[in-house]
Amino acid sequence: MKRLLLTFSLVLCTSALIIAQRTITGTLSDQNGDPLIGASVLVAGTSTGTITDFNGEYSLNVPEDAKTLIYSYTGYTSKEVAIGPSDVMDVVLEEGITLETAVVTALGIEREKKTLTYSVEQVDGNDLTDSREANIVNSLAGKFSGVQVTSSGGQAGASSRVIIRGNSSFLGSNEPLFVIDGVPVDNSQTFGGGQTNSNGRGNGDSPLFFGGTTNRGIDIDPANVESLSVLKGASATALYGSRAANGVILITTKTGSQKSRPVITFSSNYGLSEARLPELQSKYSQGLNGVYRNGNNPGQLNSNSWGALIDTLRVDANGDYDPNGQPIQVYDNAKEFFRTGSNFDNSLSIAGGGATSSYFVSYSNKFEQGIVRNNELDRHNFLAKFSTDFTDKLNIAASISYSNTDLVTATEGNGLQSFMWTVYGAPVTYNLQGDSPDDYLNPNGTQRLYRTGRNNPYFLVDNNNLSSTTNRFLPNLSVSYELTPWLTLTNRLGADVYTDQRLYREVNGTLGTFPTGRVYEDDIKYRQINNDLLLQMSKRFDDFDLDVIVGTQLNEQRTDRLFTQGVNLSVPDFFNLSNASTISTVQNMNLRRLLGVYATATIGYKNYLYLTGTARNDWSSTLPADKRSYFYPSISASFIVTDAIPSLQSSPVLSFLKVRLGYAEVGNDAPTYSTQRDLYVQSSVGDGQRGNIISPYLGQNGFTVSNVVGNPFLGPERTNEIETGIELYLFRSRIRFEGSYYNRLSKQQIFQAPVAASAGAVARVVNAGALRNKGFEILLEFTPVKVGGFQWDIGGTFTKNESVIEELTEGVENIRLGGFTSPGIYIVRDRGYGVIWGSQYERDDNGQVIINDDPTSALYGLPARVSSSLGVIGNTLPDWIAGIKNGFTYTGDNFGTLGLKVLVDIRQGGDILNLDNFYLNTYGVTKATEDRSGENTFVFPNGVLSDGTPNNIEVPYDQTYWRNNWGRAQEEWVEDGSYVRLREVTLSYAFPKSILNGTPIQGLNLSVTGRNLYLNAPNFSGADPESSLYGSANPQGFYNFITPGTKGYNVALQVTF
Amino acid sequence: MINQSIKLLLLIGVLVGLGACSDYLDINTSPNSPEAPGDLDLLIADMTSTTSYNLVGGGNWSRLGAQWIQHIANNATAPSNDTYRINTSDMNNEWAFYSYAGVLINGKKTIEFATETEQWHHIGIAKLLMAHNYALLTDMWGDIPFTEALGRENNIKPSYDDQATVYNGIQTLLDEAIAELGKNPIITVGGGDFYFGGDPAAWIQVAYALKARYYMHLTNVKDPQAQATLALESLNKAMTGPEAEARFPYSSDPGSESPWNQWVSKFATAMQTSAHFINLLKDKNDPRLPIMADQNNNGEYVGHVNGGPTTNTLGDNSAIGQYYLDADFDFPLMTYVEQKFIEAEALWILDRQDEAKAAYETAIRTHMNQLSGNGEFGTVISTADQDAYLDANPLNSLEDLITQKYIAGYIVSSMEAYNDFRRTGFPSTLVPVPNGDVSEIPTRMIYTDTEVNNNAENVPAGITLTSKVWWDQ
Repeated sequence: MKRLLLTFSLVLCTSALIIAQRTITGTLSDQNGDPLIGASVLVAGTSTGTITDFNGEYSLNVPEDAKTLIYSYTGYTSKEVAIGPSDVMDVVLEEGITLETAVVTALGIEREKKTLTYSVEQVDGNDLTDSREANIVNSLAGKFSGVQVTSSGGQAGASSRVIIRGNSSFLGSNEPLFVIDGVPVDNSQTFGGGQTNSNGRGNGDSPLFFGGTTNRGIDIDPANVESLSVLKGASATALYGSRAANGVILITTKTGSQKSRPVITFSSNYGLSEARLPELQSKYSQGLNGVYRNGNNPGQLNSNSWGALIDTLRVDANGDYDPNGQPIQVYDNAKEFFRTGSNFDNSLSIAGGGATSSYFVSYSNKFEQGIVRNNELDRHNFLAKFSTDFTDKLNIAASISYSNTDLVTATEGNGLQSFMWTVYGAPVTYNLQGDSPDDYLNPNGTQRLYRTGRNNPYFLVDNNNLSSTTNRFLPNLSVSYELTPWLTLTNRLGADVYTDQRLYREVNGTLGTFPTGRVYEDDIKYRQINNDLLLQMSKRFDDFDLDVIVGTQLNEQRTDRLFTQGVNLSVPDFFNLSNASTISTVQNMNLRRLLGVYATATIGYKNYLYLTGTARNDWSSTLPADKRSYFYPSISASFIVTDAIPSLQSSPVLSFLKVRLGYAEVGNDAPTYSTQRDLYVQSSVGDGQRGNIISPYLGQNGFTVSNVVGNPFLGPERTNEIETGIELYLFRSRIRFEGSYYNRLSKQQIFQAPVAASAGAVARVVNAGALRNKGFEILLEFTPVKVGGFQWDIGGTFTKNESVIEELTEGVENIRLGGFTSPGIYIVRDRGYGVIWGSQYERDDNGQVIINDDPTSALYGLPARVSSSLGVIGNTLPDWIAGIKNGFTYTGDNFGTLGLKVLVDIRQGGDILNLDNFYLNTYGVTKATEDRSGENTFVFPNGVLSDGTPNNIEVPYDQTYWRNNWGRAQEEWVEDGSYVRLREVTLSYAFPKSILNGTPIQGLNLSVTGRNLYLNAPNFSGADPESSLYGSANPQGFYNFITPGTKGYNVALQVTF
Repeated sequence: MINQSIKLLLLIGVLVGLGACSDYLDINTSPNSPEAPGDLDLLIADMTSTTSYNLVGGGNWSRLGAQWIQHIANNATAPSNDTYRINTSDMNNEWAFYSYAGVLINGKKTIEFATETEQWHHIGIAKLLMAHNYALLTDMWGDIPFTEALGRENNIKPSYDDQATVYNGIQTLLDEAIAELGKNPIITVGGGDFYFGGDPAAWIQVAYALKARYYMHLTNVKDPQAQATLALESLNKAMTGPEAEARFPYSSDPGSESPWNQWVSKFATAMQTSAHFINLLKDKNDPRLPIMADQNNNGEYVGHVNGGPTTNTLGDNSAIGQYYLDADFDFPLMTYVEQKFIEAEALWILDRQDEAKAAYETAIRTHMNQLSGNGEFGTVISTADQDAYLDANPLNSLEDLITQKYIAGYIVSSMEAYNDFRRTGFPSTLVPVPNGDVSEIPTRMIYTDTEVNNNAENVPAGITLTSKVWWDQ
């Protein structure tokens, strides 16, 4: 039995606070006599405790009146042992399902899971590292109920979105608050692309033409994570206040143990990844109307693949048609374009501690080369933590984390600079790659390509890219003082400081808006300072347990952004602002402050009835002075039936039953600078497509009144939520079930509501609307087999969330989140969050599509007309998602431990706007367009003829259909994104201690991991339905020229000394 | 110990209370945007550049107008705007960013600020540009918000005015503009006016030319002779020659290129010369053809048939003449050539045929002189060429006049050509595309999403692409 990873963490800042009356020492071990490392020892009814060291030993100073010690360790049954006359207490814990698992809750307070009145799920760090994902958000997928993770694309460093219990803000961030060791940190995505919106307040729409960037969670090294908890409902997050309205992801980093010799852990892992490509047609050549064209010949450049049948096509040595020539060569252009990606991680950590102190130091490096040439992620992480008991009562813990993340990415999306435009679109008879990797120029210096008006993708990825260098510090200082054995004062000061320096290069000769080159420098500085001062009380009165926390919070966030763009480069290839003839700058600063006071109290009665109340008041700088103070409470209760009714305690069937119920409110503040009525911003005259004239023009600046009208009367946003849940363990806890139902209403939202343009504005800031999310989530764990050293565990998560926009505001029926005006991703009143909006075919009153039945018409048998009004044509939110985890472990004496973990991830529903098909069907390159001979026919479904009978007209699949008549209404571009995915398979082996005896090695693990090895998305014709042009931002399901997702393999080694 | 903690709690409360009341939280004034523009030239700069780039040279006015009137054709797979495929969202930008929340609201703000500081010329230019913008809107949409428009937060659902009211308002705005521009303010307009650098006399001439244009728009719904007389009165004080035109100074610097260069040369490369237009010029043996269109790959002038099948390559057709696509083509607000045709038409209506003929010939000669020396081959149109052309194409009918106005209005006045076609039915050679979403050339634009979604109760109902605006009877 090897327990190399500490599955239980020391988060209590008050830990190891001691009263010097009596010292109890001892050893904790399992049935086999192996020491339990990092197990918890707690004085019952207090927060005084410690954890065992590397040898399973502990030493704890206990107050004289202490009666009982509680010993617990994840995966083992906890024990309460009465303190007797002896000062040595050696305890053996039995393996089993513990009901007393400790989890980290709000403010980093560790609690017994049993006592919680709300839902919290927690996983160990190694469950995250097993997936070998660079982005910690990706590694959450499938592991939690109520949590939806969506990665955005296949480039190294692509962002990933996480949503807990649906979207609850119309236009604000819907992602949870990330908290590391008690300090909030930033996980936002700052778009690139350099297109400022008309208010100069950022660049909301640039992903459409540029693609997403990364989320700042990329800076977190999963290897440093001891455990990760997800706080889902408002009851759980109420203490975090405003910013936790979307849930909280609590990360606890690894730590050292007191009285432990240095434990050195080295791990290394290497992996490969490859693109998961869509199937394309390979039967027909470049050309039109069945006539072959030679894309190498300047007179025959053409975007179409509607040419000749390749089987019978013969060409001469120049590639021109020649009936007596050779068969034409075909190329798998997409496959050749993407390289095999690789990643190489190394990390080294040292943990240990002296008599009254502990430390943890680690360094790691991740170097990943993506499947797109020059796409690269290089991350270095340092973490140093130190904790010491200055006196019996005073503990100081300090840590600093530094990360350096270098990321180079290529442009995606609907702009001409997007390399993906001509990867799938290249005809199979055209040699896209050419003779050598950099064979993308003609002798005259122009780009070599099979068509005009677009860029060669090799040219783009070799010459144009966005590089981002982020240096980030997370300092953290926590001081706690034990006023009495049951009262502790803690101050935790932390910060998150980073600079993200970006340089975008667009070389001379790139077709598009800037044919003479462009360079921009985008400097983003972020600083968040957070201080929590809190008083914790924990006391037991006979049958009652009382836990109280009172605290204050001060939070300040500041973002400075200086974006400077230079166009028209004098020296080609020289990317420096001094080399540009026209320079323009956007400068933006945002500062916000929040003060909060909060209190929470939990009363437990006889260990089976718990009641928790919280209250918080915030003062925010972003609201008008008379409305900046707002209060919100929560109350929740849980009842452990099995503990309350003694007769149930011996039941062989029912092991544990807990029911809980809670109600919570949360307030939220506004985006900065929303309260000023009219602001004036620099002119940005553009045509909404790709053209613009840059201000200042001819040395004359221009300003315009902002087209968003501010609101000096804003009040806070309000969310209230009812949550109820059940925890049920059966058959001696072999089956563990947790289910929650919630109903959350987010109202008085602060957002920019569109107004009729004729009012002289585009939007106004309002305090209105209501968005309801309700749903349920299930966590099921089951151990079907446990024989000898063999164990089979099944874990499942199921998440179903339904969101309805119940109310927008006066005169507003829908709001665009992203994409084009049509088609785009919208929120629409009475519909879900993130629906697809676009054109539809005209239907009769029964909803049947009106079919053209005029045999002379080019549209015979097809929808007669496209309705001139737009509507909802899809819903990007899935009906439900689920994760199924199977774990097999075998442990034998002198054999070690062999484990196999298989994680399957399922999404049902969730439409995707596949804009690629709009282009690729027209070009004739999709697999569907291979069926073009006209022999096969179809009947347009759900159609009605002019005489009212159902449509029965057979329409041939031919060039006319695909090229001219398919997808006339955008509703045909929508595809169902359901999938079943083998997300992770990990085979691991831990060597037995017997082999390692006599070596300095304490533990040796080997593992092999496969990622995304299998994907079945039957209704989606693109690469991977888990893609989003907008990265981790709100508009999901917009698929257009995105780097395909990847599958990968990793081997990993971990050695502990 | 308990006392101690209570004291501490109190202390925390006091600290927070102090914090909440102090200036610590009074930081919500934007450091990024001022609450007033200060220098009103900044707003004039925005208005003049938006007018040129988005109202005259770009935006769907000029682009759609040029396709529907078959100056140009889209050599791309139908359906498209060229085949009358119009979504309600297609003109959102025109209403929102270019007009109401663009030129018009900045015009209103300019007037508010300038009235306080007595900057009369700023008010004059603002009113002129607002009148021009309202005319564009009402010509496309008929009834539009006018008297209640631009109320911002005070009126988010403006009512619609009928077109007659709007037209009265436009003439009033232009009269007021002329009056303001005639005053002598202490602070004059400077560099913000990209057209004239603030020259009030130049603007007054343009204002009169615009007045004449808008009088002539109403020949079908008012007494045509009265309208012609009003137009002629205005023209007495209008532009004195092509050098008096308001032209926006574009250049080849990135982000300064002429709008048709940015749109067609850099993006919509499938926009080519229409077969209708090329055939019309070929029929007339028009010497302007080599300048207005390029030869195709075979050295011929072949236009793309509007709505017709796409060609194998773009090179099979004639591109739009480079003269119009040059990056430094200084796109005019209104041409002197158009003004002369307006004069010719007014005279024709008043039966003053000799004078009409003179104006007609001046218009054509002026246009030919402007084009001469340009094009693929530096085509020069000599006086002899002009004489021969005018001999072959004399003014015998209103159709001759409007057809010539249509030719000269290629790209630069496509919207006016579209207005003339709706008003007069000329050129008579124009036929709808065969595969259009509607079976005739649209006679107006449907209302945009921004209004339909957010001002539903005021938007006129039952409007289609083939409904007619008031003046188009």
